Amino acid sequence: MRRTTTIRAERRSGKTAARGAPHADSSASLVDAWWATVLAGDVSEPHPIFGDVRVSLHGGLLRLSGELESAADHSELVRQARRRIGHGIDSVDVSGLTIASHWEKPGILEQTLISAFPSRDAAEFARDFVVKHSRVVPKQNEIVDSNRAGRLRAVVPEDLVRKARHALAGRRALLILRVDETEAFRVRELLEEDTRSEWTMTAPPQPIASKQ
Amino acid sequence: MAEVSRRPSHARTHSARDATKERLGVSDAIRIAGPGVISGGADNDPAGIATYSIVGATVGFAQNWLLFLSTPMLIVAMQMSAKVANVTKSDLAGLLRTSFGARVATPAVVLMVIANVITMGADLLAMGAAVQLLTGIKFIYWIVPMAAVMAGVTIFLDYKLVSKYLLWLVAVYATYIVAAVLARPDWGDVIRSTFLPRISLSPDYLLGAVALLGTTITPYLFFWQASGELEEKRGVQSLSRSSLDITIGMVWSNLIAFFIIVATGAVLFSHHTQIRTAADAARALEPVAGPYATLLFSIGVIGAGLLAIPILASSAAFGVAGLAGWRRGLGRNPKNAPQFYVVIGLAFLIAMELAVSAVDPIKALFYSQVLDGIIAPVLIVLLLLLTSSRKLMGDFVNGIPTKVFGWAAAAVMVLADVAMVYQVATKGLP
Repeated sequence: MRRTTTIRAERRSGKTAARGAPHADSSASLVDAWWATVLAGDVSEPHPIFGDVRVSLHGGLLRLSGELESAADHSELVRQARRRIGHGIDSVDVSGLTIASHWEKPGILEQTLISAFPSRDAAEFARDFVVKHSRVVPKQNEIVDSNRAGRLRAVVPEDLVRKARHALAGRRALLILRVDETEAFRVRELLEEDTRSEWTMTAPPQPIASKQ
Repeated sequence: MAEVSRRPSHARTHSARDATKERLGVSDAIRIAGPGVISGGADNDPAGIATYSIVGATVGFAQNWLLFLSTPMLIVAMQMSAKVANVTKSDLAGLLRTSFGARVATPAVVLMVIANVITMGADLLAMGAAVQLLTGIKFIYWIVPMAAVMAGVTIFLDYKLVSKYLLWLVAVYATYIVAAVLARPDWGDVIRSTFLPRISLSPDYLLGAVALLGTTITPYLFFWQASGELEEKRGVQSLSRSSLDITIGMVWSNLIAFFIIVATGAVLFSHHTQIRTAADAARALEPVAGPYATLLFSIGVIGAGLLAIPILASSAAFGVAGLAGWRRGLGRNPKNAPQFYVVIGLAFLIAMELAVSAVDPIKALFYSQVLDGIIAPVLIVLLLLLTSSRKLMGDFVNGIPTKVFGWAAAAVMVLADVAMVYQVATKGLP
């Protein structure tokens, strides 16, 4: 199931906390606000953490369905729903909630994504957005603009340097993120669909071991 | 399939390709069924069924060799579509835009969308004709309610879940295998025409060839497959799974197509019966179903339409949204990807309009596939360029067999297109 791009990273465990997670309160308030709209009858808004969960509310029965990324997500959503029993709903049916079966294993391959933005500010905003407001923890994140063009060869895979240079010559700022291959789907989706990026390119996956 | 261990350790990982190799057995086949199998089901949409039936009724088994030849080409084209998404984590339209620019990507997507909407209109007509066969109520009255229901399911329900059930409905077409056997064709002729090419330059033959190739190697499936891989979050570690999934789906799809041609060839071509209505096409099932041939045919067409039409609309929306950089995905809520779902809704509206204003369902079905046959080679060439780029694909760049079959597919389709255009221009439409 796809996710929304609103706040959702804060409950991601210690990694986010280590970066400093000032958003826990805002996350909780967004979740509360979402539940308030659901209980008021508007079931079309995406969940602020779990995205496109499908919700139906008939009488006192709340039905949740859709695919969640992990068992922890499943437990958390069920916990949130059950907390609302007696506050507008009588019972909760979560039989339609499934957990995604992930064949892909993290820690084997990594990918570098490069996005071009009209300005450094836009690139910084996008970096904050992806890093702070998603569940992805990049292994490397860097913004390169014409003032720091010398960094290009160090952070961009050889094959993409030419395209990157061309973008810098056009006064673009580049956001470069290196992530685990299994997380590249979400990062690319966020960069391409939810930021002001002009284009996003993904370098081919590389074995993590070869960099060590 | 791949050779190494199921889950290679870091110590043995020398290249990205090494890290993704896995060995898959027969038991894995059912478990991994995904976008490839659904694509295979959708490939035999009502337009496809009509085209194969018309080819069988018009030229008998003479184009079996083309179907046989197109099978590895189709598998290769679909595997390229999947692989490019597995590696780049991008769908086809987005990738065409970032790799070739809007000047190349926009016409490619626009042509695909036009062909999709026309095919949707033709498929709606076919479904209406099938319901008319069952109820006696004129097909035109069924088009709007059927389109509305399908649009509603695609936009508001989980279509991926629905499509897995619809696949069983399309399994009705397996009866063509029995029908072909019971029709007692001249198997020697069937085998000869499958392995020995018979080429004719008549407009009839060439139109049939272009339509057959267009309905088999269908452009919208490339977009659907790439987007399906992303929705399933299949990366390069799943390359072998994607490949097996696609191979199963495409072989099954073409096997059914083969037996449709054999059945219609044996029943209709041998009696010089042309297909002018859905009832004519249903007659090919008479050897197996007798008086129930119409019922069986209608159920199959309705099931095929229910499976394929939402996929056609979604592929168009994936293309447009990918080009524009909009949020997209059938797993998303409509409020979370409004433009994507608006395109789906518009595709249904225009197709509905085409369906209610079109005159001849069978002709509409056939010529929509001719249009697909003209667009497909362009997309195959673009796919080949993408998947042969080391910059984009790294270790996963096309091997020689993929390049050979890919370029052969493009060349065969271009040749058929050029010959057809020349013959039609000089001799007129058959």
